[in-house]
Amino acid sequence: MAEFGEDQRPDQAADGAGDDQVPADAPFPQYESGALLRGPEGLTAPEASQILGTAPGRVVVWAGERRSGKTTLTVELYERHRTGRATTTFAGSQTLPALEARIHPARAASLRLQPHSERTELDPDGRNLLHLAVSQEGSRCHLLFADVPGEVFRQVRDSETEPSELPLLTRADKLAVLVDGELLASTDTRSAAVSFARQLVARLADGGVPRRSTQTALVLTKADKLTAAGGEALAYWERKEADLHDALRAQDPAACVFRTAARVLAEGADIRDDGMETLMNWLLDEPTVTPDPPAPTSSQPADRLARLQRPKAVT
Amino acid sequence: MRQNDGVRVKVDQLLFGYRDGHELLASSMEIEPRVRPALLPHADARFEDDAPHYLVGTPIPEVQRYLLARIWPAPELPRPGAVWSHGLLLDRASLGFVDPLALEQLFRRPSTESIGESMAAYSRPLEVPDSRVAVPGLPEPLMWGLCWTAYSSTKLPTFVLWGNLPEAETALLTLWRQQPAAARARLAFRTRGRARTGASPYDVQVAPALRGRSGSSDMRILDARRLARSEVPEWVHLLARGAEEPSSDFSHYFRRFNTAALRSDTPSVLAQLWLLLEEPRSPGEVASFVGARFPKPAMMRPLKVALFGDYERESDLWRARDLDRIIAVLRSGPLAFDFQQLELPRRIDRLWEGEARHEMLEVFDDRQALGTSAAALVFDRALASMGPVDLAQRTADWALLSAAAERRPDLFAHAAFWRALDPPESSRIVGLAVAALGEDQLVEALLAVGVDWLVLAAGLLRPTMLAEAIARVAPTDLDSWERAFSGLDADLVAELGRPGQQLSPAVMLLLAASSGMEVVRVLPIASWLPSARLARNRSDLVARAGATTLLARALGSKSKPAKQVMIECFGVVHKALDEVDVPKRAWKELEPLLPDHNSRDRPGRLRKALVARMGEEAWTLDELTRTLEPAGPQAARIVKLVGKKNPLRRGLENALEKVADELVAPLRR
Amino acid sequence: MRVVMLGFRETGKSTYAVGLYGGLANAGFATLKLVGLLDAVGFLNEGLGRLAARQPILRTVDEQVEPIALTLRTDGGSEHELHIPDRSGEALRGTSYSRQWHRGLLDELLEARGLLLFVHPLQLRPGEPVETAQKIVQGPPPADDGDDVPRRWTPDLMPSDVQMVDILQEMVEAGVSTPIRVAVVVSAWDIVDGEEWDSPSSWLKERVALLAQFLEANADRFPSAAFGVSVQGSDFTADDATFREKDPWERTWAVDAAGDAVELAAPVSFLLSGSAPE
Repeated sequence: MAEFGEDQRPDQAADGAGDDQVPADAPFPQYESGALLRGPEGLTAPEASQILGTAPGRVVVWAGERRSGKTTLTVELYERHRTGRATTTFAGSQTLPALEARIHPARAASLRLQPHSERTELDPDGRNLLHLAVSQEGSRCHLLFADVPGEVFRQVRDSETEPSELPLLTRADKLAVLVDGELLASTDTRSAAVSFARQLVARLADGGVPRRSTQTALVLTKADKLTAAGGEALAYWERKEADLHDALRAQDPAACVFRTAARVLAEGADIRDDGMETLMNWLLDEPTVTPDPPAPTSSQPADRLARLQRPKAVT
Repeated sequence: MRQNDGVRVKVDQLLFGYRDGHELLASSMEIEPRVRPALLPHADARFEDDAPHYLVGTPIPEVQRYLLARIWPAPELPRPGAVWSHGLLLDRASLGFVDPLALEQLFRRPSTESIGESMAAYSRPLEVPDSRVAVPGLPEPLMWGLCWTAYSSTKLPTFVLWGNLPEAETALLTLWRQQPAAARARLAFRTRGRARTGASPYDVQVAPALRGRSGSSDMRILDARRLARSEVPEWVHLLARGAEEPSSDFSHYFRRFNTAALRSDTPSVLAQLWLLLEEPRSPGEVASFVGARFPKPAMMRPLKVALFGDYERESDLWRARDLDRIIAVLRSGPLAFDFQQLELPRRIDRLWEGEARHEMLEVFDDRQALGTSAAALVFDRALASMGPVDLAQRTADWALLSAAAERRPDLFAHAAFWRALDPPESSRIVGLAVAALGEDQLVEALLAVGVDWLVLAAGLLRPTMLAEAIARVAPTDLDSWERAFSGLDADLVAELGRPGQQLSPAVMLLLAASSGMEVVRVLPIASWLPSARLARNRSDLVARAGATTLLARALGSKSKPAKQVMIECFGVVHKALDEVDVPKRAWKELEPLLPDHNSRDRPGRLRKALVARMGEEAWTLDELTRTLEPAGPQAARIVKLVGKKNPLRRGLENALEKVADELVAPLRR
Repeated sequence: MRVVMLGFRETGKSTYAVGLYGGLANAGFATLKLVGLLDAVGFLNEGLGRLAARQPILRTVDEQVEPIALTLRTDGGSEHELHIPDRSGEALRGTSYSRQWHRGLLDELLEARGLLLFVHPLQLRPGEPVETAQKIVQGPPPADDGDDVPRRWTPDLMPSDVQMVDILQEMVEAGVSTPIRVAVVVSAWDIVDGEEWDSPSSWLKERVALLAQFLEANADRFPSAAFGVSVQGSDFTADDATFREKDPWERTWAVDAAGDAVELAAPVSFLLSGSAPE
């Protein structure tokens, strides 16, 4: 009469399906993908942490308004290795297709006649880090560039978002505030551009960014556009640059200033030094913090702490 | 499912587009700047294929709303990669009764030409059409794929590959519609141009292709484009059909019980259970299925109550009898089922009272096959409901008897119990019964059954209690008395010796009849007088034997009480000697006290002994009359033993005359 | 030793294999001798026939893999079994485009102890910037090029050097054991030779820069050497009597990374030098 008591697991009698039926607990058939290569994805913070566990690295955040050239700086630093203009040696990238997809609008293969950079979308999966490994004099360094849209920094500037809510900002080894040289070239837009940069620096400072472990810089982008605009525009920037530099130095006495022209496009611009090599050298400067500890070998999710989401200890 | 039939529902809306970045352009409700970052990633996309639009559905805890958004590429905007997205914000109440497919009709893509007019349109709440939207025959493999992945318990992100994303959007909304309101509020889904591996905030995603992996290879991908009917478990078919037929019985059932979020076994188990109920499978099989899947009492309580609760209230899911439900639950045990919540005690009692009594006895008898708790419950309720005959038929079950003695003493008080007992079993049971009932009640019960039961109880009752009981029910049954007190005389005598111990005349007479002089001598002769009186008018064996012994005792004494005993006993003994005889043992005690040892005339010798005694003291007429009255006709011969001048002669004659008068008086009347 | 010839379509893999066999079969190399055949060589001899007739060697069936299995002896006297499956470049292109390994190719790579990485100067996709297109297009660039035109990014639009690096990186991820020697073979070196570049090394650094840098920075995983080879010896369309008079294996020539002449077998010798004799 009775088949089992409470101490036993009930049997599976009721599960018995006919021979021709698919068992109820059959897992759904996995897509026969074979071994996959990387797609054009950025890395998540935990994935980036794994890389930082293998060799020295820098988390780089370009903080700037929309179209200020954040993505362009990243992909051009990569592209310069391809075109032989880099002083470092390309050592690999775990986001190679992602770098390629982002630089694609500036390539002839895009069939465009003007170089573009596509708007960076907000990634709900948090895949917003691009990786570039470079080698210099035999030592390797992993650069991890935050690839976030300008909206994020607009929100910080407008006090809609606290810097502390953006883990990458608090974890950055290198934080550069970008000012768009194209906006500085016009009297219509330059005051807003400078004002926005100043406000961004102030909001970051209010939010405890940069941290002591973060090295900061003020980076003029599209310097060719500014240069092409003439001496008055340049003089304007030189005054504002000093002001902004002072504001940054209040937080980081070692804050640097760079002028870059990642892509020289403006006619009439006399750019002898596009500033990219200097910028790269700054990125490679040893940070004043301890390196990340080795990545845990365990594959348990709990062990794979997203170390990017917390600041490193200051030496 | 409540749909918005006849109910006017308004939902808030949002418009995102490119203005100094991807920003909120218009909204019908105040969106705090601080919560916008929570909304933005879900209202943004990179278009990597030729799909006309993508769909996103996700809870936004920061605004306590659910966002359902459609995203379009916006190549007309100056920045490459710009998109439009139109979002609907649903509160929890709306989620409960709007038709998700009706929401799909609300999406409007803005145009740059009329953006100014559009802004105003996006700044007012939208009214949801109040009609239920028919599902446009979705491709079966797509729905199978969605249901199979959505209702799988994998913790990995899942993707369904499907080429036609607009179709996939409708299918996702159909899947979303299938959820109860609470689950709707938690389900996050999205369409994309390319499937991605690695962690994602979305439960279900659909993309037309997989092109590479991310930094993580974690993924579960189902290619619905190549899914064949024969590959798909029946429960997936059922859920897929159910999603498209919200009014079907299954859909009602599914919405009623599926309170779980996705990524749990619950939906698939509910579908499998439905298939079992349809087959149908036995309640036992259903209970074991449910118990195995929801192995704690608190899991899926409403479902368990609907399936195994009181048949009179819970009969809409299936028609299984209450008895079968209860047995099924008992066999599954309390790890999965809450016996109290299912009201098993009350329902079992009801079965005991009704036609299922016999089945309940079977369950009780097989309770060893149940788990400990179920067996205890069955035992408990059986004990409460069992009748005396049921108990008597289970005397081998000592645990039952012991428990019955404690909790159901009434069963032992039933004559039916004792009558149904197998006598060889009974003596040990009497012991329990004594403990259960106390001696008084037990004797009452046994009295109703018969003296044999009293005899059986002999060793277990106090001798005086037993003696009184036998004397009451069988005062003339010397054989039963002697069987009852075989070897226990001393105990009874000891009882007699106790101060204040009172025994009834009937007991005293039986004692005198069975035990003889040895016992009679223990007490003063006066104490025997009531029993002597009791024997006076009787002729049964007890009376004859008892009276003979008492007479012997009286003859040996000169006391006044002895005379009284003699008065009472002489008649019985004389008549017995004359007509029947007295028991041999009693005669042996009397005979030595009688004169004329060589005479065979036993009545004559007794008469002589009486006369001799009369000569020693004065006897009144009444005393003589009382003495001779029951002695029979031959008693008249006593006169000849006394000389005519002896005053006693006259007394005897008068007494005999009076006796004769009294004997004929009734005739005269 | 198992060696994989890795290269996209028409980068000279089969031609090199035929030329190598021709040299070996006709005692054409001082550094490497053919000891025996481990598999049929019909298609190689067929290729030799085409080379002799100054016809290009073309594969007809993309999916067919021609096995090349030889026993060789180096000038140091050690013997090696060499297995080089000749597979169409389509497998590599499909892998790169679909972002999914071609199973057969991956299996070969998982067993490989050496790579012959082929780059053909005429098949190179350099990844030119938009400005290059501007120079080609007549007239001034439009103010806005119109976003209807642009081509969406796909993996096969990646420049050749990126594709090569991508494959090498993915090989490691897929479990190919390293270190693995890589002989970078610049096919049709006769086309390049005498132009701006005097050595395969300098050509690679400029034209396939990312690959060159990657190999340099990852020498621990990918010990590499560059070669320029010319199996046909010259452009078949040129009517050069000097060449016509020679046997096909005598027409072949090769240079090392620095541009110094070496035998056509030098890339294989480089791979074997890192391998224990069998």
